[in-house]
Amino acid sequence: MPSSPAGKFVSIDVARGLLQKVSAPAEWNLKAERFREALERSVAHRLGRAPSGAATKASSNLPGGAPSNAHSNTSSHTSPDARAIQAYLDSLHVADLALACACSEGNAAAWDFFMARFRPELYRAGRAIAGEAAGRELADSLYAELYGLREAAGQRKSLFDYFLGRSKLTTWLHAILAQRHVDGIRRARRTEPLEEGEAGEPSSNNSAVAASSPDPERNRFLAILQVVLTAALDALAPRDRLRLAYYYVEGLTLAEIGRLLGEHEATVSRKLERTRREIRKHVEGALRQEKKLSAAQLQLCYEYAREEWPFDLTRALSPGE
Amino acid sequence: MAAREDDKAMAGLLRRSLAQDAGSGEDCPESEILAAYFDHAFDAQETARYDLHFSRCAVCREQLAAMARAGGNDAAERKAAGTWDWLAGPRWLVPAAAALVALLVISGIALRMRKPVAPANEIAMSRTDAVASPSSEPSANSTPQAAPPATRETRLGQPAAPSPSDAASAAIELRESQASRVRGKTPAAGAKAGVSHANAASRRDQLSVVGAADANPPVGQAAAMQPAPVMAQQNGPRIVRGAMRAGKANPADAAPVNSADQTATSAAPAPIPAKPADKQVDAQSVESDLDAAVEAEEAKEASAAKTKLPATGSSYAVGTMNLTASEAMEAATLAKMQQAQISSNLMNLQIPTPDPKIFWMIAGPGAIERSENGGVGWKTQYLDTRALIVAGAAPTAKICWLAGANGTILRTTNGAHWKTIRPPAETDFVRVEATDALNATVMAMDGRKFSTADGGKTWGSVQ
Repeated sequence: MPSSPAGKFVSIDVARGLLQKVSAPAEWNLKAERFREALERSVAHRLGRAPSGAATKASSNLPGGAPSNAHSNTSSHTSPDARAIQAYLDSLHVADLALACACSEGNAAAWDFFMARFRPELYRAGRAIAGEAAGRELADSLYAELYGLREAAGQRKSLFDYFLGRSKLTTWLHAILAQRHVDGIRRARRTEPLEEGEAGEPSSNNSAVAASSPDPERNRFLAILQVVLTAALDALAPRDRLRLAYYYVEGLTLAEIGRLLGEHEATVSRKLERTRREIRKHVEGALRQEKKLSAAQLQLCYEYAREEWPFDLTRALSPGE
Repeated sequence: MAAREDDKAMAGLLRRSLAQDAGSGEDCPESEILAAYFDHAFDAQETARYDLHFSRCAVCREQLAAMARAGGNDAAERKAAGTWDWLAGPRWLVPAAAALVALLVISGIALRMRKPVAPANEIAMSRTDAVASPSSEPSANSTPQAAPPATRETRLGQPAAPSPSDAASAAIELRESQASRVRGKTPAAGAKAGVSHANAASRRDQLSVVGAADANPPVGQAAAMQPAPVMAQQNGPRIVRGAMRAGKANPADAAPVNSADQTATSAAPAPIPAKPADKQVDAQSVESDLDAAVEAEEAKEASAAKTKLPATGSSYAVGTMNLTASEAMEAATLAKMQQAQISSNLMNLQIPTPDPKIFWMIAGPGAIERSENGGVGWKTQYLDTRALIVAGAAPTAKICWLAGANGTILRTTNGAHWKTIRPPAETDFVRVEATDALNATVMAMDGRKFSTADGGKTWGSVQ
């Protein structure tokens, strides 16, 4: 093979070598050039556009070259150096990428493999994400889309082309299922138009409602508490805020949160506890000092908040307090 | 334990505050990025960049949470996704004997699954297990992570429906039902309800395990809620008070709550007939408040131009003249809260069943929670709509009708799955009564009443 033309990250030799390394079955009929294209796309997505100029063969021992651009989407002239490309290629899930490639080409043997190995998982994940009925539908439609090929400008386009190998294929499938599920929910959320004729007269009843609240103090305290809490939350480090949101908004288990953040369950529990303590300290401090609330009024704040939410969202995070 | 109580108080506010995160302004990353992030493929810098976005974006978090629930990313699977598993795959599909093919594919997958048991035996085993398996006591959860090797226990097992189409699926689903059995979840019922329910339940159990020193979680949490019969009494007046506070109690609920008090002490005299009687007493005054509440909620949901802010609007305007920035913010929050209070109080809507330990509570738009043990543990069930639910009636522990804004009527007959019922009119319903799965009456905000005797297929006007 001649050396790779200028402007490419990945040479055909590299591609062939990787294919051999993962022992892609011959039945998949995956051509080295086709695989090289996929690798190229993946590298380009991560490390920036192919440079105009110097050939970069990841497999050869090039001199260090320009400092590596670790940021994606930079269209600078400095080419990512060979080391960065190699490191990136090493981090890829090459086997999964090969399978995706072969499937995108429509190879029957590869499809059989995908069906046997991934289809059950797809449906299981769909059910886990969206429940029995909706999950099945979700998985059905994604599976059909993966299977189908679209003709766009004379080129066969498969959903598999979007897989870049940076994650496992199963994770990628989960991500698409999750995205479609969430999109569907949010879409349903938005389309709830109020029908004019049935709405009745809103006006004067509102003031009745507002006035009928028997405890104006209550609302005031709750409002103060809300403001102070928002400030406390804004002051959190992103991961702490994430952890809280996963716990309180999404209702994930400690294990699930740990999976998302790369932490052990016990760590999640500990950090959640710490963050809550921080927030409570921040909130109480602000209520006392800034808002000049007495201890009794502070307690009242909590009392009102508790009434607002009578069901228990907090689970036993740690032994006693 | 005062601090613990305060934590509970904060929980709701935390949830509400964080749920409003609208993103940090930059575009949300596409699925490939989310997948890579999930698999921890990013370096520290990239991870931090996305952490920041996700910490402010509820949409992305929802997607990531769904991915976490999909699970299945434990170490064993990672290993299985390596290169060696090609060998057991398609090469074997070529040879002649179909039986040989099937057997080898299955054993190949079983190998990857880490427990190579002959599928036929597995199926037999699992069936027996599924049949015999009770909902084990929470003590079974005391070793969720130390479970026997059969597990993908880190994946919150979705108990699968039996008889999958192909044996390969069987192998996988068996393992899940084993896993979920080990974790002590009710299989079939749980499966029907979708894994989010199992998650909610297991979440609560799991956390009670992790916080192990909290020896009796139900009791520990019972500062707010006593177990079983006493609970209903305690909860009853509390809910009524909470609801009444806002003066917007749902007539469908105010009465059953009272009768729940009665049933708690006596042996469940039929609460259903009692309901309509009680209701009429409260009906009038509460109803007008409820009407006002629903109208206020709709007005809020309508476009800003149509919404007429009440006294709150004017008080805010007057107030801002002399207020500092923070006081102005409070006033604004106050105004928002008074509007939101309506929806939040309605969101605390409780729907009792004849069994005092079992009841539902509206958890928020699109979701309802069900407790079967007096409010200690909850399972979330999703509704196909995010419309405001303002009324519910549960003639049995498993049958429940819901009604709400925009012609929303839903019904479950198995206590877990909700079906949308075509309404008699696209109007807002404020009350529903039901005697069973087929017979129900809904009342619209304008006073019209409709009845069905066939589970909502057809409705007739009544007077």
